[in-house]
Amino acid sequence: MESRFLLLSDRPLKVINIGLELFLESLEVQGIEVVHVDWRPPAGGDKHLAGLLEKLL
Amino acid sequence: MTLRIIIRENNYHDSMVLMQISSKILEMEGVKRVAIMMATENNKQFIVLAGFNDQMIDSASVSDLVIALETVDDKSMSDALANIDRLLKERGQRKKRGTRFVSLEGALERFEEASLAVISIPGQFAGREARKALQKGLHVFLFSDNVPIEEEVELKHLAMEKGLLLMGPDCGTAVINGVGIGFANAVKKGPIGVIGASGTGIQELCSILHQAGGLGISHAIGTGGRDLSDRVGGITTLSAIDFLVQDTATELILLVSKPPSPKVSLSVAQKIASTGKPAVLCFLGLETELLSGMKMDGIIFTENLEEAALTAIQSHAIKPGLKYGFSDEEINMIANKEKNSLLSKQQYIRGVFSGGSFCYESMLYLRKHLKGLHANSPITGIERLKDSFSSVEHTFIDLGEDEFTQGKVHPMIDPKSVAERILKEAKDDSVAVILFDVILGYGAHPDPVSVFLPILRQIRGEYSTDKRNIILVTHLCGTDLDLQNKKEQEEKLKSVGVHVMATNLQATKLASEIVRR
Repeated sequence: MESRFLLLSDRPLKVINIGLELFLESLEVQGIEVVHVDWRPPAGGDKHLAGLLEKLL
Repeated sequence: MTLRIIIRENNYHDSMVLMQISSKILEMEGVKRVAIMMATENNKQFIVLAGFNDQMIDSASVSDLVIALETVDDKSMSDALANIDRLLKERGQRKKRGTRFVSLEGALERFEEASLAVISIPGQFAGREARKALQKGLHVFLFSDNVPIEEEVELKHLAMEKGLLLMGPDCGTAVINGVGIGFANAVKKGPIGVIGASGTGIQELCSILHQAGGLGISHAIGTGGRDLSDRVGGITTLSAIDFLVQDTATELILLVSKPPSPKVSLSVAQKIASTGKPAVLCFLGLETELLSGMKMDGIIFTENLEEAALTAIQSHAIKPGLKYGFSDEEINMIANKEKNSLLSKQQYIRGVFSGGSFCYESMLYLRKHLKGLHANSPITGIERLKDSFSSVEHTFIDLGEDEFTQGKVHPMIDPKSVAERILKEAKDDSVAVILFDVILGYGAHPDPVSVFLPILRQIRGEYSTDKRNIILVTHLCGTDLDLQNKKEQEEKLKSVGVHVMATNLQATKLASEIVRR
């Protein structure tokens, strides 16, 4: 099986940015292919509930 | 005084946006105190510490926005609230560029070729998102802190099983194949592979390698601050070693960390030695007795960042008489000249840092040469400050620590808090030297010196008429490829009489020589 490290060393980075726009901007300025996730806390912010929901899905 | 606390349910905004808005509101006339943040557990504690205490805040959840304000009167309050709404709306309406998703699952499904997830959301949720990315076969850069250590261990084991790198949690810097991630400098590509548990440690090494040796780096892998603890056992560090050993572009491994557990540092050293790839290790502050038990072929141990980088250059490129910046003799000459301008009561150094590793490295050096040292984040042999906002004798402040950054933008992004603390120190007539750092690169302020300049000018101008000379010493961490234009930043600093040294170590040495009489 091909080493997963080759994803980093052998080909252009392709990034999913989740969180701060600052990091998205830095990657774009460097010409990196990046998509952004407009993250929001799940289920009204209740971590326990969110965890339960995930088990159901 | 007018006080308002407003909770807006299900109204999420990026923490950096909220901090920038907070900063602007605090500058408004009539505003005494402000806290604008999402109601995470961590933030709630800070809001209480800031003096805003209300049942509403306690019952708010992490997707709720808290706006807490104290103003001198009702008019200032309505002005401030109107301004907050305007800024939030403006931010919301900003043209959102590029491809955007509402969930990581959506992004993972549609963007199948993704190789890396960069995650910077609140710590209590970050681990879950990191797991999703790892399960899909992506490497992860996890900037978030406050991820529980048990979760870190679990995630790192998952990453290891899948042959992936989990950089973090609490990882601020990485460079992969020439691409800077998080806070990183633009450096040329080359044969040195860097591994670091410290963001600014990595930045300093990369900058010196590029500037001093014209040597580039293959990759710089951040491991996160806790990776080399006994609990985590160095999992990411060991994987990073595997990565760099397999990487054909990497010819020498350069590793930096604050003192890891002795057990883990030994296993890391042994692992590197077994690979046969030459390596330079810098365990900042590791007791020398422990080092002597670790002498191994092909590995050189160094005591500070400058030595680590220059040793790597020498090992790799055999540059006889490699010199970078100022020699010890040159530093002594500058110190001797400056000493004469000091009044006898001016005895102390005040170190004001945005880079935690720079503060740390300076303390390591100075505790060997000076007495009466204090710090907000002390090392052994240095006293903890009773009040982080009030310096005593020789004092070293890491402005990246929680008590300074909660509710505020990190000083690397906005050095305003550094400049303000420098001014405060300058007003103390027992101060001889103010030592600080300026950090360039991706993520950092586009023109940090412009933030410092008015205050530095004020210090050099105003106080010198007092016949009191305050000596300013700094170093610029960055390269000539960084967007901020390093040369120009340096010229501006020199134009107001600041001593700009090549490395944090040289700046520290100069400060030390000046006060030692």
